[in-house]
Amino acid sequence: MDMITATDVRFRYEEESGDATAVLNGVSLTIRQGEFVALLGHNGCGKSTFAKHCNAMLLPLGGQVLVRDMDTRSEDLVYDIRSTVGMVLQNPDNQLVSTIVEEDVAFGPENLGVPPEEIRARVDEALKAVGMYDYRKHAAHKLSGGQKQRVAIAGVLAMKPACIVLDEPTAMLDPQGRREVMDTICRLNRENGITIVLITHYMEEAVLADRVVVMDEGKIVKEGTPRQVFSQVEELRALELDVPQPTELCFALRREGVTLPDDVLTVEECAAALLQQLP
Amino acid sequence: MAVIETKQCTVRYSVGTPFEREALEGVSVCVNEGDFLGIIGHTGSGKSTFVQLLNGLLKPTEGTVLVNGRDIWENPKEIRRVRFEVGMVFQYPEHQLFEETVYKDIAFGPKNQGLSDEEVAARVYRAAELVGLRRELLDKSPFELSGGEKRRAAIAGVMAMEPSVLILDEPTAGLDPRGRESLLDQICAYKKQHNTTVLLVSHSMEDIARVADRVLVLADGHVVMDDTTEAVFSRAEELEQIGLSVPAVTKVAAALRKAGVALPDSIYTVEQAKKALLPLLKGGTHRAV
Repeated sequence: MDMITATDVRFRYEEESGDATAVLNGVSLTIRQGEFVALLGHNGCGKSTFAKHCNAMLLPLGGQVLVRDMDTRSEDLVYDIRSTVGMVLQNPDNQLVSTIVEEDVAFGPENLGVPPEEIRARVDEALKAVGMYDYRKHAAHKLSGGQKQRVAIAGVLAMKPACIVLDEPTAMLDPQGRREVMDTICRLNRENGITIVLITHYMEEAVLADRVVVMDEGKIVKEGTPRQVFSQVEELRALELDVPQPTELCFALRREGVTLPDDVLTVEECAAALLQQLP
Repeated sequence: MAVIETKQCTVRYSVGTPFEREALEGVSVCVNEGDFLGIIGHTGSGKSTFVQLLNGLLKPTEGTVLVNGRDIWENPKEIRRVRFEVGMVFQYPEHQLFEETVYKDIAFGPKNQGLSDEEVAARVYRAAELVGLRRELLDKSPFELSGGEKRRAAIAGVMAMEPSVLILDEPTAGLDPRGRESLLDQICAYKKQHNTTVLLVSHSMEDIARVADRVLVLADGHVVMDDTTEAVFSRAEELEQIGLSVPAVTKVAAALRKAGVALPDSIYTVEQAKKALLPLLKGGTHRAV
């Protein structure tokens, strides 16, 4: 079953002067249930704008976005659409609303009118899922960046979404926080079957996805498994993107005439490939 | 010569309340003229507290901060002068843009320094050019710029004051790979042009590896490493233990060394890895016996 189906989506922001810049120029993309998709592209390519179309925060000016067959333009479905697709943003400090961790996580389900006993159960479950249950009584503002971001994810989880869209959730985090958040995302996808759309500038995070989608100038320009996409080093560079360092190293050595595979993604694969070539 | 020196600096927040907490303890660091110092540490390690000490935004609870040999708190009324000497670019500096035009925003700092209009103009154009802002953007409202351009405008505003020390707190957060690269190049170019001492706080080990020649590692309010970039990144395990990391290519080199390949432990950029590996891959004796 398809989670999100975008068909020829067009969007532009109107400016005060009356000028309009086209941001999405016909994006067609289907995200299947249970899939983990990474969305890449340089700043200003339209990926965040597209993300906001996934739960009706923005409505397409042309084309159509369906969330589990619900058209995002039908006003009476907005409620159902937003409880199907949750959103996590870059800055954890902008997303926490309460002073105590468990109250923050309860905010969403409270607003959905969920009965109190059910809220309790959902909050506990969500906090356990992100590994923050022991911190449920803590002050939210005193947590580390990675912990705050996991609480933000728990807040979305408590609304029982089938899909979570994360817009650069690790951009402000230290390496440890980044690992915590990425581990959580992967686990939610594999163990709880939650569909993930991850926007990121970190190529080593995109490697973890089932599928990588690259946007440029409001269009999708590349799509495939991480292996297929990242083997195209030069094309990605032309799109102002990068490849993971192990891929880049193999690419640099291949150019010097060393025989190495072009689809190396991780540190382990890179070391193994090099060891094979070293006499 | 030491441009900045902290002597046994301790910072406590909320002193005298139940929330009293030590953010830095006995930190003694010496930054020399022309250094490119990278500062890394987990969230809450004290990085931001440390850099705020250096231009007098925070006063140490104990200890002294010397800038160009003078105790900056000797005469608290003159603390403003220190801020012209030590320029600070905060996290997400684009949130601090406020003027009607980009030009006025960049000019704000140098104007406050009491420079003549001609000198202010010259500095605005120089700084704008350095960070890659086109002239025609200078007449626009800063709020009409793209995210990346806003970031550049905000950084240009600090560069235009031509401080002898430039501190940048996470300047590349949220930028795309090419944006990161060009901003780092511009910072290096500025450093070269003005012979500025630069302190760069970052969570990106790759960024630090690219530009810094010395790295300061903070953990729980203490300095745990203060050494050349090479020496710091060769201590991968210790870095992982305190919630940090090393560049992926350093991990590749470590894995190869473990398998018996004779590689130096000073590899932290792709270029270095390539240089070290090529001769081994192209024949000769390669394995450590």
